[in-house]
Amino acid sequence: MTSAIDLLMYGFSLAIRPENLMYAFIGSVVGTFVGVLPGLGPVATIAILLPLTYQAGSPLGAIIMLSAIYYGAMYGGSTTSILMRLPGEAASVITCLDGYEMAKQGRAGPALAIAAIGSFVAGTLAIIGLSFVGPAFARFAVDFGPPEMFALALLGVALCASLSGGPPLRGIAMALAGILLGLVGVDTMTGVERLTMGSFNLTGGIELVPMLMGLFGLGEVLHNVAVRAGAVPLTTKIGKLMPTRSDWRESAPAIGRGSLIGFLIGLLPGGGAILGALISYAVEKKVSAHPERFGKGAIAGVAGPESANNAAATSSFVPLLTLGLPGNAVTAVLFAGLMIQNIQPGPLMLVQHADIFWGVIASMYLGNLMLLVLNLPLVGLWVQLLRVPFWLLAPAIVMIAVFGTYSLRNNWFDVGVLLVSGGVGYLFRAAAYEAAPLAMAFILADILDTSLRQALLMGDGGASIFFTRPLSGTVLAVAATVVAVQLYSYGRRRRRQGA
Amino acid sequence: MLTLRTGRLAAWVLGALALVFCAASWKLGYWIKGAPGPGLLPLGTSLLLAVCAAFLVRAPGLPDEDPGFGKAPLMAFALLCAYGLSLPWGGVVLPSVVFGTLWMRLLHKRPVLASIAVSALVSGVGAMLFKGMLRIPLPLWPAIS
Repeated sequence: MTSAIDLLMYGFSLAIRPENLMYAFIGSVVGTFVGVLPGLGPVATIAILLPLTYQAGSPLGAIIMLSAIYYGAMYGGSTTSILMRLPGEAASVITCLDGYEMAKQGRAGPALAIAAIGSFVAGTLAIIGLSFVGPAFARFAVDFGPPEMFALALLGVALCASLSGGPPLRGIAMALAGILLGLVGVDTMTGVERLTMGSFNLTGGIELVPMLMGLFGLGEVLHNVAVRAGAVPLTTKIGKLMPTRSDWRESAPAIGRGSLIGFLIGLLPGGGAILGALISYAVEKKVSAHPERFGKGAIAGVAGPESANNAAATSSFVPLLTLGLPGNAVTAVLFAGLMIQNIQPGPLMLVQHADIFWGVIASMYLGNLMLLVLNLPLVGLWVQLLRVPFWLLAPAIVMIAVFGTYSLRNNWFDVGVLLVSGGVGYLFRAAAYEAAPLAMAFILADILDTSLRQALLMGDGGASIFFTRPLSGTVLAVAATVVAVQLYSYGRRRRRQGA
Repeated sequence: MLTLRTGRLAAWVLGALALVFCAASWKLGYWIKGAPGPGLLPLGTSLLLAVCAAFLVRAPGLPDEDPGFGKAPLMAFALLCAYGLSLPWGGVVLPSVVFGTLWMRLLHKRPVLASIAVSALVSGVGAMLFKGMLRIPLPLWPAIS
């Protein structure tokens, strides 16, 4: 423990050097900006900026800046989710559900403030965890085999389905559609084109970001055109910025739980900010004394997921730095950034590049502090976006979404995906089908497919492997229980209403 | 107002997706040479989705469903499609100005000149941000070959 503290102090001595503070600051500002801007997510931005890291004075400075963009984007992503139901990056999708409802009720200020404070607290707690217990958790998580990963992903899908406020069958159907759409593209295990319907553009799969922006962003814009009394979302009163005492009472435990959930999920290969936010939301809904408020502006539905996605973003560095395993798309790009600097992530990194390892960890703490200082005073500035009239904001959102989508791969096909998803998003919005289960299942589809087939191969074609291993058996039982309970309780409610 | 039960239409869309993907994944093979094939998960998922869709098509509507599709969102979607189709050959600036002008004029009844001015400003700022600051190779003007 003492040695970890000494090493962390060594990290701080490197992180507080002026040039490293500057890189952390630049990364935090760019990350927040990117997170706020719909479409240009952290993956695209870090990838675009990778060549620029050659120009950074040192490998440590380069990695500090790239990391700061990542967690800065996690902060910023909440802003457009809350104000416009436009997730700036994928992990903020869940924040749309209650954050946007709060904004519609004139409580955008407290939602933004709680998101910023929750993100700071979670980021800080996760850094402490990362410094002291991270490697041990990582060793445990990496022992997970395909059956455990499949079970965990299936649990994620089951929770997605139970997230939708309406009938669970609708949520399940949307989740199943999400899995199907997520499987489009070249099969990674056999190299066979799958479900592409002969389209060359679909061989790489349906791009996640345009699909999310279409489903959530453009679908919402079209819906607002339909109900454009002007009263609803984007022109409502803001209310005061600081949360009330009752908001704090509701949010504080949610932030604690979200931090823990996010931290643990971030350690898992394939886990990460999105799954952390999703599970945190489901947990908050389950433990709440008023679950009926979720989806209608419950502040715990903002505090938990926002804390979880920041904690997960931080703890996803554990498998990357200590085992050389990028757990998600962003850490995969960061892996490339380390390789550019001739640094091989893995167990030896702690010995060979202790300065990078501990310097980056310490800079994360300072970066989180900078983000809090940057974001809270700027909350008012972001809130001003609500005052922009819808007739002006709508075409601006469409244009930014189109430009941002094009910037992902310089590809007009992605813009087509955006627009088609917008139409589909509007249809589902009008039909009262929640799009969140579809989006979350889409993200988990690849893990589900790969781990299912690997597990079946391990079990010589038999499915018993899922039930004979204690962890996967338990998780699958939990997933089945979640679905069964949801279906049963909805059926009972309907029967009561009918009686 | 196009009166069509939106919930039922969404269920039909999900059902159609299930059938198309079911056929495609059957062709891929769900079990090949003693090992799970690439069609295994999509086949199982699409069959389950087809069952769910069948139930949802017959299920009664919900109070929070829209009763049908209004003229305004359909027009907005048509504008979006036209905008998307014009971008690959028109560059981003001109189609964006035309799109913004039509949106403000047709959907929000703003004055023509104000619509053109605001659209030009928004398009210009957007293009400058992405092309100038973020160095995205956005094609600004029509490609002349």
